[in-house]
Amino acid sequence: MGTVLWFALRESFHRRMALVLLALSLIIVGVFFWGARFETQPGGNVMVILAGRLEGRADKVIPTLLQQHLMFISGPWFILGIFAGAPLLTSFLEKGWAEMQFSKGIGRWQLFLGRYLAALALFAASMFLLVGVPALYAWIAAGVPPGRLWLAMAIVLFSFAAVLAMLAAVAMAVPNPAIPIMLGFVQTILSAVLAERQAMLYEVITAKWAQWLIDWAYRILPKTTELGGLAISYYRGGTVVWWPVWSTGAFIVAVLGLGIWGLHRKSF
Amino acid sequence: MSPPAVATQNLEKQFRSLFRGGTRALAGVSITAEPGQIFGLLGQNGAGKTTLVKILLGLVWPTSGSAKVLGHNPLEARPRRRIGYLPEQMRLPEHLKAESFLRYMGRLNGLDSRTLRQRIPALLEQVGLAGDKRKLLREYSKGMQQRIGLAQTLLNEPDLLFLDEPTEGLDPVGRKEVRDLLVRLRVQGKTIFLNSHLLSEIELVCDRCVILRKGEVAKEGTPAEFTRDTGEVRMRLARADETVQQAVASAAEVQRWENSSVYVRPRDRVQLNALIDRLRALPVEIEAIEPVRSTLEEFFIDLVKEP
Repeated sequence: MGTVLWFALRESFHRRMALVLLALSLIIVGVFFWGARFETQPGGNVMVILAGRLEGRADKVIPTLLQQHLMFISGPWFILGIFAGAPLLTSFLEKGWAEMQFSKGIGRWQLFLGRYLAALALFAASMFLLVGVPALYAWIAAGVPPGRLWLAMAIVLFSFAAVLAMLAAVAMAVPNPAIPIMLGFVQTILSAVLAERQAMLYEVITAKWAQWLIDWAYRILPKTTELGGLAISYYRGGTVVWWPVWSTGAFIVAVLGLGIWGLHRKSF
Repeated sequence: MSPPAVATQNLEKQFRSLFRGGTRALAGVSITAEPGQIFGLLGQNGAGKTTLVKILLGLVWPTSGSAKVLGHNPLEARPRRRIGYLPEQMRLPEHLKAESFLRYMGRLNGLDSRTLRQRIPALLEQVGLAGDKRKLLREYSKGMQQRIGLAQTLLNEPDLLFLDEPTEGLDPVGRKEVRDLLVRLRVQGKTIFLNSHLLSEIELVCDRCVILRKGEVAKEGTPAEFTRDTGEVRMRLARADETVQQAVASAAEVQRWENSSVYVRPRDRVQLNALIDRLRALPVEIEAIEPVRSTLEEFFIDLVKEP
């Protein structure tokens, strides 16, 4: 499976998806490094200066900055991650190439999971560049430890893993990256709507059976919006409700299982 | 006693489509290929050859019947490490170079890095691509792609090879090299499943053949069983003027003339000898004389034409 993962990553660089994702991450981090400066005051307090403006004490400003980075990766960056990851989930099914790989002495599930993990690793790498590297820099330069940031990042990654699992399963039925990408968008939007279903939907949809269906859709589908909020809440030491983690975890396991079964039954 | 390299029993495959109905690709196919044989698979387009091979490789699920490859169910992954497959339509990863591609293919078959370091250069040499190993696969010509495809087939030193049109895109020298390679592999005890439209090649190298027609086994046997004496004799003469033509016509039944060669159908050996004496008496030099056998191609065309 490691071989599959490694070759899938090489492919993503060749197709420029990884290159674009990581280059954008580097540019954003570059802007952070270029704009942020730390100054130690006579009293020992480290102050943050952003774009030449004094923002305040590092132990107050840096967590806020990193929180914004977390929000960014669990929002717009998700979409880029979907764009970059989806082709990896379908390209190995291309006619003529699939036959060569699937006739080898390797289980289909290994090829499936290798590809899935490669797409996830790509997102994880870009996330580390966007959030992890600034956090480490702030720790070294300003002495503000990342604290709960690593687990908060893991929660965001977990949320992305759920969307990716759904795309991977769909790709087994429709081996064309366009459909999984569209579905990824829909899921990202739907997650926000379902999380606020009582305020947003039940005013309009009053039929009990329809509300029942929406409730079940909420329970089953990954809770990406809530997981993004949960990651930030956990990072800032707020109250954390773990239910979205368990239910999304169950979704990942079920959908990956479905994807593997679909691939196993597939004829080439 | 080792099990057959390939054995199928009443193999059926029905492709179902929601909108276009079903297509029967295979219907009750039972074949056996013994180890160390070159087994030819013939049939028109759509006869079910590729479906059969794909079932044997675990790429397609059969609708019913059973198949065993090297004594195992084709759907088991591990036994496939002893199999090599060259598909007819290859799509190579264009961003890789020959060595990286072969390394990937080898790793999928469970080969370790040390083994691959030894085998890859030797294989590239064997298929004539050693000088092109630094090129990206997208820069390869059709013939070079076929060669690299063949190299990945041989990488795991398989006991059983499925080769779908292995000489496609190769020049005559390349074709001859592939034929020689097949014969060498047979000597090593490998079983080869050969799928080719070039019937002359099948005739040259195969020990047994199966002809599929509309998903069914239409004929199975050795190429020699498919090609038979036609009763005709071909004589190549030094000249074919009117005197010679009259002499031949008076001594045997003439089928046709092709330049200075005549195809005759003598009743028996006595009549043939009389014809030879007649020609010598003229005198006309007989350059060659040989019985005419029907080719596999003729046999194949007759068979698939049958209603």
